[in-house]
Amino acid sequence: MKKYILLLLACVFLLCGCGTASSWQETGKEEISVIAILKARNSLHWQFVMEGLEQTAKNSNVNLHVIWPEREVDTDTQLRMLQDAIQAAPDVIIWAPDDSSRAGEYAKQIKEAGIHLIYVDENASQQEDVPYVGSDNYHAGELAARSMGEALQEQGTVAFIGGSQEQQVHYLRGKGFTDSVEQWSNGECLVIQEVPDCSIAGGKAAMKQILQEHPQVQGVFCASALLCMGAQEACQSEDRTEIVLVGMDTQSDVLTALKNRKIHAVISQSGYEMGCRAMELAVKQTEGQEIPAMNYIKNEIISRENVKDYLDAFVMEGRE
Amino acid sequence: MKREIRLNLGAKLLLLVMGISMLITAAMGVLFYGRVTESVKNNYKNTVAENLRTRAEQFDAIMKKAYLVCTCAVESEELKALTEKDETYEALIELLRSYCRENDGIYSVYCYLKEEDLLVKASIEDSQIQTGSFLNHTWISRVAEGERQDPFSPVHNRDSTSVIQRNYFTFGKGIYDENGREKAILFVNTDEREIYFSCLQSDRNSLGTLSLVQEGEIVSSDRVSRIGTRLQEGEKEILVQVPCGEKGYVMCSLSRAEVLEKDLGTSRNWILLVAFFLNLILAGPIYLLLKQLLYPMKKLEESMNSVKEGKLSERAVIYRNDEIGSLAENFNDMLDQVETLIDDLVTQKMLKKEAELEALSYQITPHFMYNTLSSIRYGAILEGYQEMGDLLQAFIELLRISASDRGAFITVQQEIRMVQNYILLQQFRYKDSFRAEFVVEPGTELFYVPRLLIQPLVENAILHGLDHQERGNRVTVSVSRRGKNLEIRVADNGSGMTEEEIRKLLTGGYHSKFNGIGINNIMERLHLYYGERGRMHYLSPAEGGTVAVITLPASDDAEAYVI
Repeated sequence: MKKYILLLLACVFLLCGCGTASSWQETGKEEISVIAILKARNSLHWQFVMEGLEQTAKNSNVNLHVIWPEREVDTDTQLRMLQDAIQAAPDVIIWAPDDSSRAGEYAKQIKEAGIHLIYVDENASQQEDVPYVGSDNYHAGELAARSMGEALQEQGTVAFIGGSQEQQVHYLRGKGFTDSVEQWSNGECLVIQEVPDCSIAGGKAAMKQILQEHPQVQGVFCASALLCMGAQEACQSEDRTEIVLVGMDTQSDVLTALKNRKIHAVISQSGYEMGCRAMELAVKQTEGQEIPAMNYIKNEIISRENVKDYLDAFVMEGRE
Repeated sequence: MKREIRLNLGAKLLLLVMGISMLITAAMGVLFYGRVTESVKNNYKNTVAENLRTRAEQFDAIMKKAYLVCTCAVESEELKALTEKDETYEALIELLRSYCRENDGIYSVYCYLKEEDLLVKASIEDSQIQTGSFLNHTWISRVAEGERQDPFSPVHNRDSTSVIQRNYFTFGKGIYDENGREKAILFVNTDEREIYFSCLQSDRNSLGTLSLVQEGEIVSSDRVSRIGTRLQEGEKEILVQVPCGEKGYVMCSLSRAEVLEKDLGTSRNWILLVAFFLNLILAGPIYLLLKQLLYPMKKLEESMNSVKEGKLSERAVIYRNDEIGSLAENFNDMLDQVETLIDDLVTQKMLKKEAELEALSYQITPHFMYNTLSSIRYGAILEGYQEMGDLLQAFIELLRISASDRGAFITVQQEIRMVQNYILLQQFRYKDSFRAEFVVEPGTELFYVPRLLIQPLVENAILHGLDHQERGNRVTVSVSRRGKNLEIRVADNGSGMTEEEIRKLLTGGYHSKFNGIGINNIMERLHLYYGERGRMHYLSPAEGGTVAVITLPASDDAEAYVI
């Protein structure tokens, strides 16, 4: 009997947990390191791109570092950042080049350093040897022309306001737009205005110049949301609200303007989707999977009829 | 003397129940204390980690800003132009100062002009130009080296270029001319104290001591004296670490486990104490309940004790239909069987004894034999042999008395008559070598005695007590009343018996030649019928001879002592 009691007591003592402290560490040892270099962060579009990158990185256990120059025109600063990124030797660099013409030499350096490279938003690759994630910008220009053509019955004089023509994004959008306008029954793209910093102020100034120099212009395609907002302000101040304005980028500011009938249409381009797709491809690259050269995101015409769906989606996703 | 404490079953059960209850409570308390402690610790760590994550993000944001400022600045045409040789460098200082003004978190900006070997320093409060021997090239090289290692992480360093040596997080980048030649280095410095107040300061003691650590070394903490020391995790301390975006930097919290464990330990002790007192309080009711449950067992024990003392008629009371009730029932059944067995055994023994006695009684020749003898007697008388006829008559009467009364008891008169006939025959045999006397107290003739009680004693006296070669032999049979008893004496005046002879006689060493009954049989029958009141003993008087004395209760009822 006594031995059973002793055994029971021994069991009780064994159960005694001597609380010892222990350390806890979030190891942060993600499998993949990625550095993303954006064109800038002065618009909602780039904020959405960053959001898409960060969210997907979080879900994929990726160590992500995002850097950007102050403005899209700060090309040298961006290249300096790219050099720093190469020096940091990550697994992947996701890059939205400010200057496509100079991207090639750096792409070579990146490749020699054994780092994967993905272009986002701007397809600077001429030989399609670097994967690209973004809009089919030429097709976006075509869509803009289609939308404007419906409003103008494919007749009239139109203009294009874009960013630096050194950027493929703006170059292709302009080309797609002008090529399509030439197919109209009686259309002409008279003006191509270049606003390197793609700012609202720049867009406003460009629009005013167009109205002064070419008052017969009936429609304008703006290659980005900020340019479109600037152009709309100019039309408002110049009392030329009949001008058919078509913008680009899925952002709440330009969509609200569309909803309020201040502009005619917006060509969709989801920065969030761009960021997500780019990060997914980065992970696949490190896993050794084959990825296509061209990875287009969806572009479609957002009109006054379906703008509400896009605005509701913003609210549901809690992004604005 | 050591006194042994005896606990009854109820007390033992109570102690057992209480003991087990306390053990279970203690075990559960300990087990759950361990689990709860772990759970609380994990929750604490998660909460702290979440807080550290926010602080790490703040630090990252400040550092990213500083990096951007530095990277943008070094590409600025304005800055490049101002790095040309100048007398006062006022414009450069103002530009550097503007970086501090326009960017929260940047404390100072330095620009090292390589060709002039000048360090132009600017902060919001102050500016300075260092040159020659006052210049700390080591510091410049160290920061530049750090930048090469990881351009996105700041270099933690102590500003040894200044009198007040602040701790900085510095980004340093080269400024290149159009030929790609590095002509200057720009250093953007964030003050460690700014980082502490922005990212680490906390008025919540529950977070522990917060530190920013780089490769195990504290680079920012509440106390400046701790900067540069190694982060030590002591025993009984909880360390939580969250890495920052900047490589190598980790946000840490170090807190003492006893802060968490103290309250838990107190709760555990309270639980154990309350459980102990509850056990004590409930001991009384539990004991009463146990007593109630064990009451039938106690009564069963009492019944068993009664049976042990000989009260075979005792029966246990059945209180409940449970194991104890079953025990009581079985006990009662067992007692019934024992009583039955005892009755059967006694009956069998008595029957056996009666059968033995009856068998002994009927050793004598049956009725045919003394009828024949009667015939012979008549024949002898007719032939004139009167004495022979008398002898035959005595013999026939002897047989008749022996065979006719089948009961175990006959009167004294009948027993004396039988002895007289026997003596007559023996006198004939021994040619009247002895005389027999009978002294029977009046009133005793009708008392009942066991059959063949006196004859074996007389036979023994005649055959072994007397010397038939001698003259004057005498055998005396006397029957008298002594109070409630009857005393029968058979005495002879022979040579007497030794102790050994008497012992042999009484232990069955002698059997009657007449009927085979031994002297010890007389003693057994006396004991069987009369118990302690029936006795027999031998005397060897000093004057010689031997006296056999029988004492038995005087009874005139033939059935009084029948078994």
